[in-house]
Parts: sequence; C-alpha cells; structure tokens
Amino acid sequence: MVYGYAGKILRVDLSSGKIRDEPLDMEWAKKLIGGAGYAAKILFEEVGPGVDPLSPENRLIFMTTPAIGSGFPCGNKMQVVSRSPLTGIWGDATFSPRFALELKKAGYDGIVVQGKSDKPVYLWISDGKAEIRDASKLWGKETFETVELIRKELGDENIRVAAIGPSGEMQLKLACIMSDDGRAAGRCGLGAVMGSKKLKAVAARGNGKIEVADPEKIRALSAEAIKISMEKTQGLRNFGTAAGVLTFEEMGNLPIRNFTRGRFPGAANISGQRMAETILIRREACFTCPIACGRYVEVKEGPYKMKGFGPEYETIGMLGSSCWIDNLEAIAKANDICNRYGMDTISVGGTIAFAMECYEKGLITKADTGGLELTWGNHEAMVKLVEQMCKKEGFGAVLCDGSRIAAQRIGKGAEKYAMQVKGLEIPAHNPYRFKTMGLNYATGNRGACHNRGSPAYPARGILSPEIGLGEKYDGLSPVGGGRITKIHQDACALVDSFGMCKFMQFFGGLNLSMMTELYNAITGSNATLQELMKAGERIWNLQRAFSVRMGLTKKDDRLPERFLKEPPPDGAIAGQVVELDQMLEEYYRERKLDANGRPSKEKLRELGLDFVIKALY
Amino acid sequence: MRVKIKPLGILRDLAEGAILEVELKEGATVGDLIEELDRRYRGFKEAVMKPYVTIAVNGREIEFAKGFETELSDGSIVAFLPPYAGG
Repeated sequence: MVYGYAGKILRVDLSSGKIRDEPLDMEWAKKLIGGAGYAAKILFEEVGPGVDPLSPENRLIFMTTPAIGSGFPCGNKMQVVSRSPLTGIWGDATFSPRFALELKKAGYDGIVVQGKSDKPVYLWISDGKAEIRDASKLWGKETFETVELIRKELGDENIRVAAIGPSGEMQLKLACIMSDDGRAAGRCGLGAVMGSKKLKAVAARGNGKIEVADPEKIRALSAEAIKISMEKTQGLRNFGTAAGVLTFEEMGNLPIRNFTRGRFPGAANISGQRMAETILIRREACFTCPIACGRYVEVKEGPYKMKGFGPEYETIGMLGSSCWIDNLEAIAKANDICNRYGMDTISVGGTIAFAMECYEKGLITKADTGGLELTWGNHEAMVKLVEQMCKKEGFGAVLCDGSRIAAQRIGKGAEKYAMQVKGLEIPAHNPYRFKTMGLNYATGNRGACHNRGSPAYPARGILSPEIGLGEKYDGLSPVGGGRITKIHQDACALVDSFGMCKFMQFFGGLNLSMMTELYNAITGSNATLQELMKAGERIWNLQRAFSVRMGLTKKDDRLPERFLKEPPPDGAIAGQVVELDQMLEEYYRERKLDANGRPSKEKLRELGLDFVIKALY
Repeated sequence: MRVKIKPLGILRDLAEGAILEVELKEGATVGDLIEELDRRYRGFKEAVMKPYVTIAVNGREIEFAKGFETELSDGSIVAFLPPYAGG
C-alpha cells in the first residue's frame, strides 16, 4: 500500500499525441518529498542546457504533494515546474487550486508534458484516464471563460481546471497559469511554456481516495493546528493578505516608488482594512483552509468597474505603492485584467514601477509610451499599461517580457532601474528592511522570491527553534544572515514540496515538529525532522544544480546595485543599505558552494546526489 | 511634547481609526505612553503586552532600542503592530 501518494505520474507527449502512465519512483519520492522536489529530478535528467524554454523539448511538470488529499488544514499546495523562459534557469510556481485535489483523486501525483501540439489542445484527466482534446475553440479566450467552456463541453460543473489566457498563448514571459478558483501559478513565466506547447488547459475530476497511514493521528493534529492558528491568522481572515499593508508601511517593508522610498502617505487607502470597508463582497478560501485570506471584490461603477477575485498584498504592493498609486479600485481592475489574461501581477507591477522610474528620469517620454504619462501615482496610465502588456500592444509590447528584457529594449542604462534578480522581479518585501531577504533574493533558486525562503520570519518573531531559528533577530542587521537564510530556504523547500501553506506552517504556528508528525502520519514513514530538513537541503541543491547547468554562476547571485549603494531618505529604512557581500560570504560557507557557485562535490555526495556530480564537474 | 500613535491592530478598534496624538512630558518613554493609553482605553495594556505584538517607534522595534525605556521625542510615531503577514 502506498500512503500519501497516488503512485502514478502521467506522461504526455504533445508532439506524438502519446500518453502513458509511469509509476512514481518511491525511493526518490521519499528523498525529495513531492512537488517541486520530485519534479527537480525529472527536469534535471530530461532538460539539458541546449533546450530552449519555449521549445518542444522543455518539460512542463504539474506536481502535487503528499499533504494534498490528507484533509489537513491548508495542506493544499502544488507546484508547476519548468525551465523558465523569463530567467532561463530553474522555474517553479506554487499554487493551491482545487485542480490539485482532483488530479490526485483521479489517480495521478503529477503530469509531465513534453513536445508541442500542432493545434491548440487541452488535457482531460478523469479517474485514471487521460485524453488530449481539441482546444481550437478555446484559443484566444480568457482564463475563466476557458474554464466555463471546458465544463460545458464535458458536461460537468465540478471539473477543476488550470488554464492560460491570451498572454500565455502569445508566450509573453510574464504569463502565468490560473485556476478556476482564482489561484495563480504566477511566477517565472510558466504560462508561456504552456502556450509554446499549444496546451490551453489541464482539467481534472477524480473520485478516488488517497490512502493515508494514520487517519486518527491526522485528525488529532488537524484539531490542534486549527486551535493554534485561529488567533494568529485573524488579521488574514478579516483583511486578507493586504492586512500587511499598513504594518509593512510603518516598518519600512512595503515597496515604494520602485524601492526608493520608506514612507507612503497613501497606504491606508490600499490596505486590506480599506478593502473590507469598500469593495469586499466575500472572503475566499483554498480547499481545506480555515483561514480564508482570499478576497472576492466588486467595483460597482466608474472606469474601474469589475467583479472578481481581489488583489493580494503582493499585487497591491507592486501595482500600488511601488508605483506610488493609492487607488484601490484601479489596483483591483488591473489585478482582474491580469487574472483574465493570465499574467503575473508581481512581475507586471515591478515592470511598471521600473517604467515609471525610467519616465520620471527622462529615459523614456510620451513619444515612446504612445502618449501615456508614466508619472508616479498615475493610476489611469497604470491600468492602461497593464492591459497593453497583457495584449502585447502599444508600449506594453516593450514591457510584456519583464523588466530585464524591457531595459535591454529601452537601453540608455535603464537596467539599473530594473528591480530584478536573474530576471525575476523583486516582490513586495523590502530588502532594505529585512537584510536577509536581500540575500534570499540574491540566492533564491528561481530568482527574487519571498516564498522560497522567508528568512525575515524570525526577525518578525515567527520563530522555528527546532531548526536553530529560535531567537528573534534584528532585521536591519546582516549579522548571521548567511546561516539564517540557508536554513530558511531549506525549510521552505521542504514545506513547499510537502504541500503546506506558509500561513499555517510558520505564520499560523504549525511548527516543523508537528509537520514531521503529520508527514509520518500521512506517508507511514518514521522520519525525523532532521531527515526532512536534509530532504529540503537536497531539493534546494538539486534545483540549484539545474540552474548551474543552465549557466548560472556566483556572479548571478546579486541584487540590483540600488540596494547596495542608495540609502532611502525616509521611514524606518532611512540611511540603510544591504550588506550583501558580507552575508553572501557566510552563505557560501554555510551552503558549501564553490567559488563558481556550484554545490561542492562533498555536499552533493552527502545528500546522495552523486548523479549530479557527473553533470556539473 | 506630542507623539503620534498609528491606529493599527487593537488601537484601530479602540480609537475607531483616527490617528491619535498624545501629549506627554519631556523625556517620556514607551512605558509611560502605554500607561497613558491604558488610562484612556480600558484593557489596552493587556492587549498590547503580548509576545506577538510588535511595538515600534518610527518603524523601529523597541526591543532593538531600549525596550519600554525607549525615550520618545516630539513628533515620534509609535505603532502597536499585530502579527503581520502578506503573501
């Protein structure tokens, strides 16, 4: 009996139209947990440096996790993995769609897609059967419209879908994959990979049961998790992830004017509290989630009239404060456009903030932007530009592939205003405020990401004593940052591949010892936390090794120079810079990375990744 | 001197969203301010003296200054911050 996994992977070759089942490799499932961990081995073995991200040879992997199907609160995260067209290196995106549960109940832990179809298709998976179906009539449709058309065609309202919109079809490098329930596999441009394969959507429905080893234990742990998390997550429940806007502005963590300022007078206007008083219709929860940080909103009239899923903290930070915009209705509209076209709101916002700074500094003018005045705070221009980016029209065609490529297109030294690492836009947590986040962005496996390591958590009092992060530390200090960041990245690699939401895992108070008990109760293993953390480290190094093979070296582990040399003038981050080199040196020691940025042979052997050595050395 | 208090978390409910300004004697500390607010708002002290509430003066956590002995000055902005997230 296999516990915690469906036990099968679906292999789909869109060039030949062939579909086959493959058993899940249980030895490696144990070593790499699931999700982006398990997928890392497939990607490493099958995608070499000569494979263009948008070519048929690239793989697009949808991978569920052991937590999915256990019924445990917030055990709902899965990953999509590929070589990223935005960054050229390791690409993954996590989301928690109900599609994940249906896929697993249909009998599959994951799907590995390769090849390219001649005509648009979608994949339909139902109780152990899979079928490639014609999607000619779906091509060109928005994400949520696609969902409805698939449900209608198959005659089942309960089918769950993850789809691309027109932006993914056009292979824009900021394109994401959206689920029917409004969750986004947002980052790294994986929607473009899907578009390159002419794969419009994946749809699933399953009636199977995922067997777990100890259901009684899971029930007991679930009750405990709900008990400890409810008070801590009250702010998230009441005000969504945007509950953080006011607090983060006060602390200096909010991105403001493309990370040049520490104070934003308009913060209250774009806060989750303001959203609750104005456009909020209802709260939304992912499956098995008692927190419900999601929002559903309506702007009833005016130019920003919309009804749909509401903006997250990240979206508000990037399309709002980072563009000096305090118009919540405009942000909600821009968010809705991105959701419908299938674009990553973090990178879209970061790229528009970049364009605004270029405009303010005179690098681009109205002649370049087709008349748009990209001044700080111009929400009309922001919404227009979002639409243009999603459609690859007007000045949007310059920006639609992210700030790194846009800077090349603009020239004139614009790259210094592109707040990105390895091509991925820096999200809405400010490295000036939490220095370790700067290091985490510089070294993150998919580029600048706040979720593949959240070393600011201990600085914010969210402690993990079981893994040596039991003391609250000063977020403005770089001391010990290398060690803290390394540990937290490994922990996040583990938590993501296990499938637990970090609002339960860290923020909600579910500690890693409880997670270990849960992992054992689901899979029937007898693992220690130390062994699971080793798995996290193994996952991190395997993903890193993939990127090293794609050409990544130590010189890529950088932040934009701004953070090292330009102290902001105001707020709690006034006068601060990020002491990156000091932290990076310690980090390299802790990780045992060599001078070129490769995982050392000793480290790879220690982790049982001997097959990687041959490829890297 | 006058200090400003940001209406976040518990104070948002107690003060109904207004930015509070409090007059304190020269040299007053964060501890003095909490006593003053507790006189105005019943239960305030109990509500904020919890490990997961961050107290910050001008965005800086007081535990990395002088704790409750951290001195305030004219125009200081004080915030009592609830646990904060943002995904």
